[in-house]
Amino acid sequence: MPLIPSLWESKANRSLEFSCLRPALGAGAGSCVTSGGSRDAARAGPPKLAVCIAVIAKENYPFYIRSTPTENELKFHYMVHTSLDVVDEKISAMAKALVDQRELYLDLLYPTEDYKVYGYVTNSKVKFVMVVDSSNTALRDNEIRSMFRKLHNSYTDVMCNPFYNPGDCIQSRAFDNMVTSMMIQVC
Amino acid sequence: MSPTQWDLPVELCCRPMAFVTLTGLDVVYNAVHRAVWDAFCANRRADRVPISFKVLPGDHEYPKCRPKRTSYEWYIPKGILKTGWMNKHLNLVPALVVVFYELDWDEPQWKEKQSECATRVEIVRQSLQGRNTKVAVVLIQKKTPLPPGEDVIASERAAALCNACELSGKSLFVLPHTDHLVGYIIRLENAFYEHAQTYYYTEIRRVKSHKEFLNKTTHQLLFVRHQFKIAFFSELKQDTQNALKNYRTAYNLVHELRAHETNILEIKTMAGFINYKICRLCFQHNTPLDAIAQFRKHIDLCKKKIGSAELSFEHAAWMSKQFQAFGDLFDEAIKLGLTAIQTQNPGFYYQQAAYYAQERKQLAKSLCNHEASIMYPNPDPLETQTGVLDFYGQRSWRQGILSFDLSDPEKEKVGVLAIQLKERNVAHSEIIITLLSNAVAQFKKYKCPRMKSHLMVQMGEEYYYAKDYTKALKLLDYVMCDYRSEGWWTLLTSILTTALKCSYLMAQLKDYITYSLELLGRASTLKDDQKSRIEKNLINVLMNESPDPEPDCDIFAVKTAQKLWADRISLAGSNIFTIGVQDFVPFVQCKAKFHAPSFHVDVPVEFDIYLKADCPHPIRFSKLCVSFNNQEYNQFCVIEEASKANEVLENPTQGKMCLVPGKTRKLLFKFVAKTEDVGKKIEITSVDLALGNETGRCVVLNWQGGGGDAASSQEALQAARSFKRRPKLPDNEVHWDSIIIQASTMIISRVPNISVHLRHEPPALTNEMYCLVVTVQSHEKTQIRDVKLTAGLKPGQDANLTQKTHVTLHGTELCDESYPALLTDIPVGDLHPGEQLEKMLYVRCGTVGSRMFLVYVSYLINITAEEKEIVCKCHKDETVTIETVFPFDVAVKFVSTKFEHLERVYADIPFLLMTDLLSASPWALTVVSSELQLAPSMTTVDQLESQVDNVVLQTGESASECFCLRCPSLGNVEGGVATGHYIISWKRTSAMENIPVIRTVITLPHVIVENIPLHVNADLPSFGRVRESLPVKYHLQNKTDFVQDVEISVEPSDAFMFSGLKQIRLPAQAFYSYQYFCQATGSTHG
Repeated sequence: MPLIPSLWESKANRSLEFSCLRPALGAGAGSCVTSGGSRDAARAGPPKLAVCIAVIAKENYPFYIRSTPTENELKFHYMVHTSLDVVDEKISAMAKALVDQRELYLDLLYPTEDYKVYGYVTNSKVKFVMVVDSSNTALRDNEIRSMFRKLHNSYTDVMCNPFYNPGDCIQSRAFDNMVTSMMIQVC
Repeated sequence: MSPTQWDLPVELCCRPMAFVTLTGLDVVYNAVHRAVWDAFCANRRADRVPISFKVLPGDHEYPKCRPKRTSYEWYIPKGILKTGWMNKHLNLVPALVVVFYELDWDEPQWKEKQSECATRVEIVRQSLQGRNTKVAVVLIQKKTPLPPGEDVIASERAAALCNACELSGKSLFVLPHTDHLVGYIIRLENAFYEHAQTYYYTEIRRVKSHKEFLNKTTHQLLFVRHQFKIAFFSELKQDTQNALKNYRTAYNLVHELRAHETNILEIKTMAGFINYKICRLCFQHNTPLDAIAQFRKHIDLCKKKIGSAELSFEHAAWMSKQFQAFGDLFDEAIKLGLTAIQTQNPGFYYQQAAYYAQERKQLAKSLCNHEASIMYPNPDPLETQTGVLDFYGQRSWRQGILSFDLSDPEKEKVGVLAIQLKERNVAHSEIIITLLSNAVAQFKKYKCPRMKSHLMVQMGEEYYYAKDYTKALKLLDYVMCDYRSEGWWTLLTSILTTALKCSYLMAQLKDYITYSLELLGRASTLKDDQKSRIEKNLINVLMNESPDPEPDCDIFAVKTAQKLWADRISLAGSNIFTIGVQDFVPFVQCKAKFHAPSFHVDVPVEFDIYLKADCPHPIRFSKLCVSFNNQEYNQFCVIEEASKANEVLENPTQGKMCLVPGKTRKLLFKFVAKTEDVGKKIEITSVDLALGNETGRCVVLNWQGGGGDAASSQEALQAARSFKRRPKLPDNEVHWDSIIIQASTMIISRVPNISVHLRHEPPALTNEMYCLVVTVQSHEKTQIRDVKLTAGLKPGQDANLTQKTHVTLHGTELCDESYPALLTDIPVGDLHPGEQLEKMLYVRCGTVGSRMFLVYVSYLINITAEEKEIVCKCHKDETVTIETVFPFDVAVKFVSTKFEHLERVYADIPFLLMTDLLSASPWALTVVSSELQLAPSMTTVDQLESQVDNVVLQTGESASECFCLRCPSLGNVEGGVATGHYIISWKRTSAMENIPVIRTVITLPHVIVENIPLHVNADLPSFGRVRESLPVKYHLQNKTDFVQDVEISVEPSDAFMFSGLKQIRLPAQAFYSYQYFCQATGSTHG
């Protein structure tokens, strides 16, 4: 009987954990990528991996959605929208746990056959959702984390702009550029 | 749905159970046999051993066993697994054949019976030639057997029978046909089960033994086949752990096979089978994570193994089935107690299965679009001689051919064509919808409302493709509100676009109009050219014409739809549609705003209706009406523009009812409120805006309340939070966001133009008739009528005050309890402009404290407002707080005749009662008179005349009186003796003559009366003269009933000379008084 990789076991405290839906290779890679790999990533700046990045308001309407132009935009809209189910659930679980030190990163929300959807929620309940191609197995958790952190910083800058009207959709070139830097480049 | 090529075979999906056949039972005609058979097959619960039984005749022909192969050297397998193999071992080849035979140990014709039984066994053995199947004999006996060892004949005959039948003793059973049949049967089947397990064990050994003859080059397929067989036999043996282990090995071996376009389907089919078995066993072993991991591995390995490009839809179909089968397994496990979570539940697998089914449909659409002239090949290349394939996953036209080169390309072509043509007939949408609805059911269970909505959208879209527009609309309409309420406009627009197509194709007028209205609105993310097209269509529809077809619709469906639309035009019927906008976001917005939160009844009520259109072109409405909670006003708030149907788009900028996109239109309404509505709220209950007119078709947009649709509350919130500066607009224009809906207003009475003054002299004195002068003066320009006065204690104060406050208009008589606390609606007549009237009110307050008094004057006046004469009722009120105080304090004390303070009085001895009346009133008081009413126990010594008649007391002044009283002896009275009442009659000095006098009664205190035994009274002249005698007389009075001895001694002072007895003793008899004289003379010096 093949053993479940230990990484999964540690995560799978609950009866079933979504991480087991990841391809075996991907999960294995997470635990055995050498430090050299991460140094490369650090040098190259944030990995350009996302196929869709979205910012969702507290009331769950979209502030900002950008997806790779090569694919059906609507598909990503639906994907981001459905991921809010998991986000809601995670937030309410967090509220129940009454954790002081709030973890903003929500981890993998749900995987589909072709994509992985990650989530992040700010203290004011603004959500960031990032869709990543599942074929990219080398991507690690802390890379996703750092991408979200950058996104959050950039978002904070947008909010600090005195000309920005709260509640409006985000129309900022700086934010656009930040998002572009994280998206898969289309040749 | 009948099973398709892609469904997993039943024999794969069932739980394998040991197969045991029962022979020699006549279950039709023999009741005993029937009972035995029933006991075997009825009530097979989980605690019974897993065996599948079958009754067969004794001479049944079992499948022939192929001769054993001595060498595999020249053997080349033609495929992995024969299609009949699993079924053969589940249902055809038994592990054990049981021969039932009726034979008692004491059978008289034993010999004959024994040989008959042996023959039966022999026949079974013949038919099982070459197989390892076990044979057992069960003797059905009428008698209950004796305990083993006691029946000598039985053991002898049993041994003989075993010998004759060539059976081991373990294979001979006795089944007494008695009461405890089920118990015997259970024991029997346990024994059968053991035999069966031995059989499957030997089978496993047999298959394993082939292994050593195999080589890796030519027998790769056999490795898989054998491994699969071992696993399957293990399952039959109920050894699931080993079965799982062997399946896993088999799975790895399948993927080691050399894959080529020609055999990829076979490999995938087998991999799918084995994967199914592994996942099933993992779930059964309660290791769901293993099952999921295996499935992931399986999918990752097989995802790219598409095979022939021309038949790529087959791969999609296979993938879809893999996911569906796993979903089913997962769901099955959940039903047996496994807990799933939001992010890992069967729904995801059904969803993925649906995606692959969609992909299959797409691929089939592009690959199978042969022209109608291409006929299905004849002879059918998909037909085989037996009607089934020999091996799983092979092509019917080249079964058993292992070569990777296509020997006959022509045949291949025909075969592919046949498959493609068959695929064309598959009801793809039906498959997709079933899978999606499975997924919906799961996601509903695991708290994924948005995922559920998304899947329902997909279902709706699939119904649309399947041309079931009614169902499509139903689903889409159901989920639309979810996307609307969360503000996902892109998604909403996409759904609406599909919905519009559906409603167009069905010529559903109302739906078509509703979706058009929303697609033109601000929630729609359509491009302007699309919006223009929709607007044009909408106007066509309203002019009773057919709209242009929606883009990308099926041509045939469009033809049908055009006919339907044409029918709609000719069809007479209701052409007015009322659409409530609160549930969607139409292209016109409406806000109603009263100019003020309240209006006086004498001024017209004014409000604005703001309209704004978001459509690309100017649009003209035909009618606007506003409805109120009081429907009488509805008639005043209607704007109707008579325009012909074709003018909807003409003269776009003229007219009140023509809206220019993006511009806010303000429409002012005015009406005079009814006087009955004074004090009531006037509310706009709805605003109706009509588009089109009755001659064509007419849409009435209905806003509940003062406007607002599904999106506007969120927008209003946003606008309120926003601190953006709005650009300046020309004077008569307003920013839409800055308009706040005000859908109701109060009607309040006209402002009175009179003055009400109150004149009085506070504070009020307790019980007096306090005079309150009310002056009403009219400042109106016309005569006022029906002036009424309501005055008195303001309602809503302490209830006790109502009891102790009385109001009257007549000051000349004292009012009593029967007078009310509030006088209502006292008519005082009419008043001319400038005229003034005065009314006096008298209030009697029985207790001290402050009270609020209300004076309320109402009148009627005729007013002209908006050229309409109305009678207004106006009123004005004044309240005043009046303090009530005691007018005076009365102090009473008892003193002796010598004005010495007395704690108590002595019986029969006169004393003085002194009253002291201290004015506490800030106003002068006149004490009209006073009166002392004595209690019967008191007697007066002299006249009881009032000494303070008509005394005027200023603030702080007091008036005293003195009465001499005597109290006869009463014996010892507890708490003293009542004295009586002191009554003061008084009034304000300033009060008028006719104001009655108030009598205030004061209860005098009780006094303690004491009896004394001896009373001495000295009678002294009031003065004496020098050197003259001064007679001093002492009266001694014995107050007791007894004679008392009294000794008197006189001690004169040095200033007097003394004559008479200085010291005497005398008896003092009861009730006698003695006078005793002594004379003193003295002189005073200088």
